[in-house]
Amino acid sequence: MTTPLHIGFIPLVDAAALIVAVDKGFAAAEGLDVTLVREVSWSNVRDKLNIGLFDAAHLLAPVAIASSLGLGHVKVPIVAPFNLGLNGNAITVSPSLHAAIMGEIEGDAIDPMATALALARVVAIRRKNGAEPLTFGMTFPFSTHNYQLRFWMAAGGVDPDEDVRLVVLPPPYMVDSLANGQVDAFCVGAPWNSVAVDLGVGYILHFVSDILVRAAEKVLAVRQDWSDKNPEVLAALIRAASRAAQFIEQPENRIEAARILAKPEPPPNSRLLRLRE
Amino acid sequence: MSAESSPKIVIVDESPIRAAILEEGLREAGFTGVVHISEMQSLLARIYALDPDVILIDLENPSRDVLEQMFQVSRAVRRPIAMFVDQSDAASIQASVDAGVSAYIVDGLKKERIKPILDLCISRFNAFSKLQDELDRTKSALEERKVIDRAKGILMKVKGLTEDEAYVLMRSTAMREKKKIGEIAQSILTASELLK
Repeated sequence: MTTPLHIGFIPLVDAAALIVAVDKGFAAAEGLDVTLVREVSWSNVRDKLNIGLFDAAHLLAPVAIASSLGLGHVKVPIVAPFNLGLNGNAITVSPSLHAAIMGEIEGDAIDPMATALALARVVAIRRKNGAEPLTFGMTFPFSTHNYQLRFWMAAGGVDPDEDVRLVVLPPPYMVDSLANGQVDAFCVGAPWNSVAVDLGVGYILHFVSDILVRAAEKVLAVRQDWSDKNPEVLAALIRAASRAAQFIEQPENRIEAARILAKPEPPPNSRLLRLRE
Repeated sequence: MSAESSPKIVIVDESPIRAAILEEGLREAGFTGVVHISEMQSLLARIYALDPDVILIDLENPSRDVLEQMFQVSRAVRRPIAMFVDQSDAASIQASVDAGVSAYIVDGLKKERIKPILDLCISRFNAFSKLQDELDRTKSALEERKVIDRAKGILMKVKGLTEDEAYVLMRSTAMREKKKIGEIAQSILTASELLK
């Protein structure tokens, strides 16, 4: 007998373990009939998990915590028994902000402390000249991206709430927004930093793993009540995701994993294709 | 109508038709202050400028995450904004997610005043998806008809059949192979393209 499961996800590289678990049959081998449902916003993933339209979800680790605490939204206790990814984010800046930071830097540009201090000087100069505050894009209020940007700039003395603007942007809009000057920088996961570099509209300033090591990024999330009622199904799902993760980890499987991830068509609102045209 | 009786409503939707259907419904129900935003760039700035009491956004819109920010960054907003749904509203949130719409209200607006807006919104969104489904079905039926006609033409030419004979041949093949006639017609088109 197979157990039908609906799992929500956002099309990002760190959903790989779930996508590969389904595509390579690891889920089916555990008796799970998984339907992966692609979503366009974390709010949707959270809400559909909360009300039971999804049995499980690819979720930002901080959203699982916020949801359990009832921060910013309805309180629904969430269990996150499996980490879908560690790190994977990067801070990408526009060519002009990159030049400004490099102009002020003292020390090594690969040292996040040096760039953070340089950013503080750039911010001070802009303020003196009456320029608009710099705008940084991130993916969600309760996201590692938000906290990582804040952590980095605060270390250099930049107040994330007073000295710059932090704005939420859906990941597929990040590159476009950097290209058209809506944001001066962003913190996002793969593939969007590389896309910005490929298109020549941004420089990767730091991999966030250089700032914080082993940060839990996305988790496999289920409702606490669901996990209490379905411990065996959850264990089967964790085994399937774990096998998929082991498969992806083998260097010889990377190309196949990349092909599997590239399979679905982009979401309807993706600006990526438009940029590439 | 005073501001008290007609809250200011913003519809955030990239589909102009669906937004128009909803806007019309709201106006008919006496909600006069309705503004539609279809441009997602600088969405927050526009919302702050409009200062709405209620925001309705479709769930296919990635910019929904942008709105979530408003509940965190209270410095930028003049009034705190809270989700319409609270713990007791499981049925409402279920119905609105099913319909594909989400509602946000300014804190302090009474729940019983929001209920009719959300109900109307849900019914209009459902009506729109029904229309969309019908349109999609009609479109694919038309498309299938075209494919069948072209396949018929090929069979007539290649096998020297009449129109009726060509159709009967496709239909009997479809029945034998337990496929749709449209699929058989498509295979004929594909095969003839390959054999050109």
